[in-house]
Amino acid sequence: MTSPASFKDSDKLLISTDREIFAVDANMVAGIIETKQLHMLPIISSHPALGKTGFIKGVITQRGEVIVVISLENLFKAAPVQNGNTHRLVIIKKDASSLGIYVGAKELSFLWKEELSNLEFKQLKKDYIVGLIDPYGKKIQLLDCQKVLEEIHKAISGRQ
Amino acid sequence: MKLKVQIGYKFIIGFLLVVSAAAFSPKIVHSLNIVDWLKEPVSFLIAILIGLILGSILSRSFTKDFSQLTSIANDISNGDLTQPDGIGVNNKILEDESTELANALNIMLKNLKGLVGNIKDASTNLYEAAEALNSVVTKGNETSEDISKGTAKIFEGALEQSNHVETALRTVKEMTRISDDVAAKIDDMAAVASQTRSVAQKSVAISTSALKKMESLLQGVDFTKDMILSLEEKINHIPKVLDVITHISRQTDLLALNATIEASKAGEHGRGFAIVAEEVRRFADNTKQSVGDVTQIIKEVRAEVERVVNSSVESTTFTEEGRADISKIKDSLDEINTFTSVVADKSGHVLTLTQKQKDGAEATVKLIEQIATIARESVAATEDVDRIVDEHRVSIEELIASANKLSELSKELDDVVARFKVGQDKLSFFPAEQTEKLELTEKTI
Repeated sequence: MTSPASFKDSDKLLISTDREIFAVDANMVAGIIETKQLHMLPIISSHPALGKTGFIKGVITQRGEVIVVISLENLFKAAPVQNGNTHRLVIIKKDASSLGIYVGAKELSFLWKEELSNLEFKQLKKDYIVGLIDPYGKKIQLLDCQKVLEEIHKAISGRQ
Repeated sequence: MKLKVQIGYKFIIGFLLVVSAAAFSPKIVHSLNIVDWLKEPVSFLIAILIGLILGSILSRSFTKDFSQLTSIANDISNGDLTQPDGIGVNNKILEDESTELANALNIMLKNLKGLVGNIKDASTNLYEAAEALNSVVTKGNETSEDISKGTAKIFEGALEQSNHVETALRTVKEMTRISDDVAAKIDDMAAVASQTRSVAQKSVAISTSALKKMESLLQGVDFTKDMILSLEEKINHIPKVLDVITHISRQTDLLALNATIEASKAGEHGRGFAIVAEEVRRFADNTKQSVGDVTQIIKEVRAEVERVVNSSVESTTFTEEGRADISKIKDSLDEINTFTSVVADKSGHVLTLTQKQKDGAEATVKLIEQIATIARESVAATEDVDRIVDEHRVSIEELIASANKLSELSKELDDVVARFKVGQDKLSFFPAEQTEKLELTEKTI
């Protein structure tokens, strides 16, 4: 669990949409890749919480590993944004699990630790969000990747 | 042979017969057986008796015709002319003055019958003639009124004709003036036609030169069109190159992102590299933005080139048409040159004809002036005719009054003649020639 003091420990990768900015720990990012096609497994597409109506957008294979790709718009029930022609993904590596966040043509930037030291952090009781960085300014939502991975594992394993 | 004895002698002879008869009365008495003293008075009485009887008989015999003649004269005086056989005095043995008087009365009666008959006929004819005259004069009056109306219309027509002639005169004068203007204009036109011919010749030379230049221009346009088409083809290759650049910039951006993440993982030692990676990202973003700008520019350039190509095609078409038009213009100018020459010649002819037309118009003016004079005289003459017709109408009215008076007089005459009773044997008093003359007079009326 990220505390107000520990959120400044690592740089943040910012994923910006028109209305919202999400942040993930840069040290959790395994890489940013482009892929031509996303695949959808039948077990996922038929699941109401995961498939077309859920937050999982598809799966890819990265160096032999199957990585689930999620959509932030679907996860937070936000309005979809234009993705463009490129399937750009941010690959998150947490322990032995990997997660793909679909960013499409969203702007990616970085927030360095030096910059974080000047910003406040406010914990937030919201699904998949740890808290707000700069709650009175840009209101950057720090993504709880651990919670997302757990949710995916639960869904895929059939546990509700 | 009848013996004529005057009435006086007849009375003397009668007197003698009475005296003789009275003289024989004593002898008659003496033969009678009467007393003597009675014989003388008886013989006196017998003598008186014989005298009275004989005298009465003779007197009646002698005056019988006069009474008849007196009665007939009275009838004639009353207008009774109906004695069918005249007066019968021709069976006397001894004719006297009564016979002559009867003959004279018979002749008078006969003549009166003829006269009255002729007067009756004449009166009847006169009445009919008066009626006919009245009818004819009435018709004449109507005819006179018609003539009066006709002359009024003729007057109006003559007046209108006079006005028309005046108008025609003004028109022809205007036409003459216009002919002068036309002659002047044609003279000017001939000069202009000559100038036009000169200008047309120059224009032909200029258009020939323009045609040659147009040929060169057309070749240049064709060359430009080929160049533009080649340019368009090369521009079409640019998007592919831009796609490659875009791909490279995107890969560069991705690589820089990953480099930045790795630099972040390196901690403090990777900050410098992260800055470089950010610069690389910015460079990739700039490249991407520039590619977008170039793509937009290339898009606009392609649109412009397409427009230029279309314009070039249109220009080629226009140039072709222009060349054809100039060729037509050159032909037209040749024709104009020919026509202007013809026009110059024709203008001379037209000028001559216009002069003739002007002379003719002047003669027409004189002729119409004469016609106008005649028309005005006609109006005056029509006024005179109208006045004469009015006078004639007054005369006709007087004649109608006279005919009515004559008709009345003929009626009165007829009434007067009607008082005479003529009977069946109407005799003509006038000779046949005179009767025919009277009939001719009636016909003349």
